[in-house]
Amino acid sequence: MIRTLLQPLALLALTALCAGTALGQASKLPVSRTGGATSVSLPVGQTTLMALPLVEIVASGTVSAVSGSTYTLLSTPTVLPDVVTTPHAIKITGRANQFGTNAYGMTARITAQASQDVTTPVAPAAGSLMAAPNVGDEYVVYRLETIGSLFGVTNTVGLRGGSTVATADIIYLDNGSGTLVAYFYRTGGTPGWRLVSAPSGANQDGVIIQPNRGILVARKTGGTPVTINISGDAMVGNEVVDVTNSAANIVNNPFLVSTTLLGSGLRNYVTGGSTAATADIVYLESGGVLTGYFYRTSVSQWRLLSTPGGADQGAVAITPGKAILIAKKATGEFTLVEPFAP
Amino acid sequence: MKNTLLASLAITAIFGSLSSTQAATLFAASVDRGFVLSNGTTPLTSGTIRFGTFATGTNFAGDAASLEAAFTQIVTSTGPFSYGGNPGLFELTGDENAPLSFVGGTTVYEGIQYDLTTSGIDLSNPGDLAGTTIYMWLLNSDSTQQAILSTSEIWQDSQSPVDNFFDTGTATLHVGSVSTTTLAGTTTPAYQLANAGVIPEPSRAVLGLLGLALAFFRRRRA
Repeated sequence: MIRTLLQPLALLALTALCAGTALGQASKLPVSRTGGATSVSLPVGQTTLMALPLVEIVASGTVSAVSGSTYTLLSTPTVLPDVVTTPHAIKITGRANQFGTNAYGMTARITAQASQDVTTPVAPAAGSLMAAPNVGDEYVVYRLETIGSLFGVTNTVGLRGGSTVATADIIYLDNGSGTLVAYFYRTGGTPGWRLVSAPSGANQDGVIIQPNRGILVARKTGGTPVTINISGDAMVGNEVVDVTNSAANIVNNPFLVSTTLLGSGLRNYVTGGSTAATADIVYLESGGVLTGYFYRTSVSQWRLLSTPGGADQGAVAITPGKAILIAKKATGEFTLVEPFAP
Repeated sequence: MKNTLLASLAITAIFGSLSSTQAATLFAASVDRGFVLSNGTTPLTSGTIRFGTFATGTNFAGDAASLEAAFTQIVTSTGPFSYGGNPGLFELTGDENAPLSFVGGTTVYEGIQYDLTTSGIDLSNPGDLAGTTIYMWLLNSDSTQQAILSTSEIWQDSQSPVDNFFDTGTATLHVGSVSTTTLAGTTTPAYQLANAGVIPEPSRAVLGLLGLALAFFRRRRA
């Protein structure tokens, strides 16, 4: 994946780098993988829910054996590359068996490798597959970003650093366990990425951005506009995320096609309610403003958190490049269904 | 007894009825730009910082009573002003001093609830404190000098994952001025506190009027 710093006023752009075909359905491999490039803008003085819509896929194929949380992979390339030295994840992108328990759409960090065997955390630990894959399921293995790889070990993307957190831009990462952890780039002393909770502590540039997770970037005034240019492969298949019963789930939106609250089918994966007090709240960010929505069951419509008696919000767009903040009332699966361009 | 405009100000946090345990954090610092006293040169070495918000349309040229009436305090800190051994600076971000903690949610501050929308993030409610501008009201140790600043930062909703931040480096001054002194450890001229002013005792005022009246009658007699 290539990241370069663009000049201000960058727009969201998508360029196909290779001939793409229709993405495969749940049980089929795509005929060819679609690559592209996109830009994610981080305006000064705003809060941005940043998604990672493209990844660097290093291998794909089918699962040939399952033993606990260790999976034997048939891969292209034939020899699975090193997927441990730098962090990688495996996503189940197709299911051999349409019925019964399967791991379609789920992603897990790879924590160990022995040749073609990869191991992931054991469910329900953070970063694990919530269900075991089946022999014959399709997968992709892709490289995970870290703070250093995405923003630069020396903050080369140009976020505003500071001698204290009060001055610096803050990035919040979802650790996959219901907690957002805050980081900033310290410019004083020994410069580097630090925990907001430990501004003089250890360097944090190796912190992994967990699979399925987006990033919340809170920028102060006084900095310069930043745009992160991301290129790589489009992710395929639904995105199934294990979210916790907290207000701190930042779900990645890996798709490059816009959808809407209604069109996304999110209704089937959130808890609705007659009031927002009992419902899951979905926050979408636009122009630095987080706007909350919930599915009001009494009218079977998406409504604004601030005006539950107002207009239907089903047409509100879920845009590429934007992650989703979800306040869940109960721990469970959350699915972003893969949208297709009309 | 000589009264100052600010003598009646409490220097402890004023918490209303605590009906929520939603703890919140304010990270605040002035390490790139310090504070000097009203003489323009002496670094501020100790004082009180009051964080809260002012009502829309507040006249910052008004007297202490009007400023106090317009201000809603949320959290405060009193102590020495020093960072990295350099006076005139302060840091409440976890480096040398812990950030400030306060309670959001349904807690009421001076009659105003911090967050009226408890079911989610909503910064648009005009009746609560969430979404209002963070103001910093700084007083020297005997409350005879002051500065009032704000930035673009707002008090975050209790449900928001984003913390509260205040950095004076890019602040707007409402009371006080910019000095010509650059303090050690900084590269930008320090903020200069303004004199808070003195309210004469009622007895003094009466004496003053009496003196004028006597002078008037003497002239008439003459």
